[in-house]
Amino acid sequence: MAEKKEKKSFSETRVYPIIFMIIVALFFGSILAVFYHSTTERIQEQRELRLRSAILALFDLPLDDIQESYERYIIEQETAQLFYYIAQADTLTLGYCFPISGTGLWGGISALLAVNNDFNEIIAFHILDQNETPGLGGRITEESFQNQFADKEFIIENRIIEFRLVSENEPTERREVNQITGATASSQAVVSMIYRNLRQISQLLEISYE
Amino acid sequence: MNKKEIFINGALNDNAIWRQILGICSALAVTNLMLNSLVMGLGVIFTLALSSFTISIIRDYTPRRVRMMVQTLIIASYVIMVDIFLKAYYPDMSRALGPYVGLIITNCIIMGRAEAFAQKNNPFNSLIDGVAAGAGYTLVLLLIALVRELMGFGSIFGLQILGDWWVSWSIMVMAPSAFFVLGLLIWFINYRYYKKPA
Repeated sequence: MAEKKEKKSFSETRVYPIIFMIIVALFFGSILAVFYHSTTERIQEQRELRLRSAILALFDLPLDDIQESYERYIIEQETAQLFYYIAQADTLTLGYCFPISGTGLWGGISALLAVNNDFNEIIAFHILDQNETPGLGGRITEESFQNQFADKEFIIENRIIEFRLVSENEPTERREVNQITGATASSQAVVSMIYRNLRQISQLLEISYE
Repeated sequence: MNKKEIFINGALNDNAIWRQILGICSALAVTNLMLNSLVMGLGVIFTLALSSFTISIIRDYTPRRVRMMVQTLIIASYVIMVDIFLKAYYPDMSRALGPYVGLIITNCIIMGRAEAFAQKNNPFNSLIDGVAAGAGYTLVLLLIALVRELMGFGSIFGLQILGDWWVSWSIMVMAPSAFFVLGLLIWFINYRYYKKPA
């Protein structure tokens, strides 16, 4: 397309492209700003709802009304270095839930880990966010993988243990979990993440197993 | 060219993937599940149609030297809208697609249509062309996903089709299979429908 001569001369000046660009950028920028602003609350709500329902699900608490159940059963606890949740039914403490994170093959993994009162057994484990290969490492979010950690003891001989991986479909002992075929790195990442976080949490909460 | 011709050309004759070999990246990345492919396709149709439309509206005022900047800006705006929309209303889908929604910005088809069509045609025709190119892209994604999901998971749209006797091919879930399936598809269509001039 050749420069159009018949256009008014302003469009041929050097400042015209700059002014044009600024106007277009401002226009689309403000549309996006409005769009973003009108949805942030909803996005935030969705995120919170998801987190809350995940926490409730860890302790098998009712999910009919997430807000109500959450307020009734979950207490948020914050210490200087640690933020966690306490699940409580009336006066009975059901367990603790810790947000944990680690590094996977392609990016960060964040998860929730619920442990019992004695701090020696995992109640349940749930992955919130991960960026593993879809269909391979991404399968760490599948129930069959995550549920393996439920009711698993992590204190053996007074020490926090790291679970060992064995191949898929093989029977497991109490120290072992089935890995995902074709996704050893991601499976290992989850196991190491749990181990590292449990150690850190036990140090921060000054829990001793001697 | 009338509207119908524009559509058929954009979606089939000049299909972005099998004819122009554009947009391959996302076609490889998201096609292990049909649902992901469909949502990705819809996102691309939306972005493509509206960005072509917008670019066409302002085509006479856009200084030639900054036109690519303008196009990128417009495309990015629509993509961010899709991304925010999915996050707000379909958070599960947003998580499943991960970074690929944002990467629609770099989808060559969109820039390609903007340069090749919207820059020279009226807004309404550009809109049709955008929808057509997006539909063509979605069609290919769904075809690849059909093969990959069926063989990789034994299901279609998450619905288990093949029984327990089926041993899932894990390669179909991984990236290499997308190359094979896409390659075969491009070869087949070009061999079958596009005859070389003698």
